[in-house]
Amino acid sequence: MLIKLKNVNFTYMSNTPLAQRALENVSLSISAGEFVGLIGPTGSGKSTLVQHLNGLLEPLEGEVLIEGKKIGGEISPLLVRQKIGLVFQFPESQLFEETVFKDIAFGLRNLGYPDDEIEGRVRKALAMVGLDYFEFKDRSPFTLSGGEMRRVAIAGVLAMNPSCLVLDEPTSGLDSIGTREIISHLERLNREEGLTIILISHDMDEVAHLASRVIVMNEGKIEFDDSPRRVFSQKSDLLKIGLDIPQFTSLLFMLKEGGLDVPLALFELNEVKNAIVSALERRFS
Amino acid sequence: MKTFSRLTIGQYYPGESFIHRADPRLKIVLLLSILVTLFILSNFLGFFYLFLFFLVAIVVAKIPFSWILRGLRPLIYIILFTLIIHFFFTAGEPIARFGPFVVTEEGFKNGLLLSVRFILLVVGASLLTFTTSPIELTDGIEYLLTPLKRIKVPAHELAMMMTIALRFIPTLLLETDRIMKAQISRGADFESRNLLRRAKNLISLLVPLFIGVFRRADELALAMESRCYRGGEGRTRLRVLTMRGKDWMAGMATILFLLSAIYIGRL
Repeated sequence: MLIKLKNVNFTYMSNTPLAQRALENVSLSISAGEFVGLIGPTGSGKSTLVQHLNGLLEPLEGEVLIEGKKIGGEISPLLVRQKIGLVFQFPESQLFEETVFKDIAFGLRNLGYPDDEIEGRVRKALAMVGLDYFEFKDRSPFTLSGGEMRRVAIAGVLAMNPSCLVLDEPTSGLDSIGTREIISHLERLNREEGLTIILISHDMDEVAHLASRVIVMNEGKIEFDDSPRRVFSQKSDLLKIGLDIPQFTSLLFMLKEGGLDVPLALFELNEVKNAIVSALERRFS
Repeated sequence: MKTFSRLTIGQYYPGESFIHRADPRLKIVLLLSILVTLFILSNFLGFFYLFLFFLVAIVVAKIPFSWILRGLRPLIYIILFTLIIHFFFTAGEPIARFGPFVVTEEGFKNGLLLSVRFILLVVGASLLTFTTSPIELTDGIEYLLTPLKRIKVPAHELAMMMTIALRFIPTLLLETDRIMKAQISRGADFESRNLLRRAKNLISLLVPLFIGVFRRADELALAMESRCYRGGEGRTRLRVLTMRGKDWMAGMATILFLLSAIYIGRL
């Protein structure tokens, strides 16, 4: 088991009048190679949860295990941060070096890699996000477009060769081309390189399309933890806690309410099309 | 993770007390008179009088003593330093001896007086910031500086700069926390014992922070201009400052008290 949380409780500013419960008895395990979508309304504890995964926050009660070893004791913080790569919201705001190369190498230098190994890793990381090494390595990160900056920032985390990549809304604020680029690279990294990915997103279509498992958080608790098909069939529950459902699911729900016999939880254009066509054929034959 | 929540100096403690509602201009003027008084006083009796005055003010304003003490905590080292310098390096009648170091009576007395003066100074200043919201404070300062406009002091602009600076402190703290966490996730160590490494890592925090500040300043300027902001000339106020009868009375009483403290404290 790559990541395991056991009854994790967390409160911000505990023991003060401003105390704010953020996680309540959260238990979950994530195995290598999974693509997990983490959804929930604002303030539901998603960001708090992912900050527990690489030891930025320590649980008040309960424990977090990485590859069976407890964070804060059995495994050093630096090693945890190498294994679990965390990409924050708007990661381009963390860029600071003069060149793209130096910025991506920052994490590697902190981990103590020798210079000759760093070059190869930076090159690989840039390739992973689809940027050409020779075109970009000597450019200043501040001359790049928004989408490119974000991909460089993600490469800075990927260069550390994590077993699991955690991304907090990696596509928010990007144009559709930038969004598509990032999504397709995440998909490929998970499928071809076997990278475990945890994706926080507000875009249900994105989650339905990418994730093999969806975790829904609400008020610090895990509400659902299941396959996208099962989770997005819970239309009324999701709407009640302020979440949306994917557009395809929404369309299928409407057709079903209109009396057409279609399955509800389909997320691929072709599947949906075929289901509607065959439902119509059944009806009019 | 270290947080910045422990620093209380310069923070507002919301309340509804008489002191909270008093005119900010009055509070600023009185604080200035208190500071002047503190420097005129030269014996412990006078300081004791002022101490009593602050005690009453703190109780009336319903500010927890723990807040006042927390505001003083960062000053411990400065006070210790002052004390030691005075104890050992003032010429006069020796009263104690630690190896080659001699403590003199004058040094002992001067050191204590200076430390007490310093502590009272900070308590007085924090009393003002605890009971006055930053907006009121800058309004008051702007008003008090208005006569200086004749000699080209940009009173309104200064006040606006202060308001904006105060407004962005919490935003910057949040941003700092966020960038710090992002860099820690990339293996940065902001608490390293190796000073060189710590300084290097600090760059990874400061550069993004500065870029963010400049970007924000640009956006704010644009937002202000698109709402037709053009400086203080002819600008009306949302909150008009008024001195109430009670304020005048409290002001007079305080001035009288300070004068009597000076009378006693100079003997």
